[in-house]
Amino acid sequence: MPLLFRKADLEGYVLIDHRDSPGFSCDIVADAGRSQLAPYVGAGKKFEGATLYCNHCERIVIKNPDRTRHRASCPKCDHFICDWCAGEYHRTLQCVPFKKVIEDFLTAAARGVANEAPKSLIA
Amino acid sequence: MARRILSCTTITPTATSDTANLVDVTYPFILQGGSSTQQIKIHEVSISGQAASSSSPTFMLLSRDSTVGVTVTDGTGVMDTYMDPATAALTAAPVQGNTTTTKPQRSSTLHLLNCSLNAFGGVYFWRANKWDECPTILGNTASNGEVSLSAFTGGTPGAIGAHIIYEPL
Repeated sequence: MPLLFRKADLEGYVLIDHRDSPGFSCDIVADAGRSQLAPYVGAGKKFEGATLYCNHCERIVIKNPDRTRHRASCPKCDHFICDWCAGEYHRTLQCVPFKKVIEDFLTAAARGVANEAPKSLIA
Repeated sequence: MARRILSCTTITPTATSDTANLVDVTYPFILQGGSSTQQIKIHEVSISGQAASSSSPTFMLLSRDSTVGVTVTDGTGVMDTYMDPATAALTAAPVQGNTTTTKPQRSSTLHLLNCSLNAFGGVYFWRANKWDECPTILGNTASNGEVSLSAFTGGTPGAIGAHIIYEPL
């Protein structure tokens, strides 16, 4: 039986447990950055879900279970990228995985220019 | 290398905007590389609300810092320990704590993880799936060399306890 690679196998796990808590009320949920999860983070609610790791900027994004819009992935590194990096990718068509930033940084260090600031991907 | 746990027993964080000084003992902790080329992987973040009596929306952020702390020491309740007693001491141990001389500042563009919760009874927990799905601290200079767990502006921050599991490479 061949092993199948599924991108879902890369997902992380998040728990936001407000079962014994007032949670986030309607007036505060947007301030908390949880507006997409509003039905799941109110009083008495518990949210368990998947998280996605952006291969370009390393942001961890909670996977909104109600999202129907396409989720971006980079065709070059074949990995999930967040909406911000997707916009940047479509603007520049450049794939710069964070692992490449690390590699460049360490290479520079080995050449004796360790203080060279690493390229920031989303600054 | 081996995984370690950085924890803060209890703290009531102060809401602080991006690129403002994180004042001593008003945030759980920062974690900084132990050398100019060290890599640290963050595997897990856990925050448990400890507020005693009223709703306390607390907008915690795990974020890279645009200014790194200098002379970092642990405040009360902050501790760092190995997960496995057989762990060998590191040549360049990562730097952690919540008391500094030069104050760290959270980057306005490099937030990594929104850890908001209601500290009155709420729990937030995140764990990466595998090693290469973890955010990386790289070196010990801004902006990739330090990560902080701190409260963003808004809400009414309440007491929390927190830990992260990380792995220096």
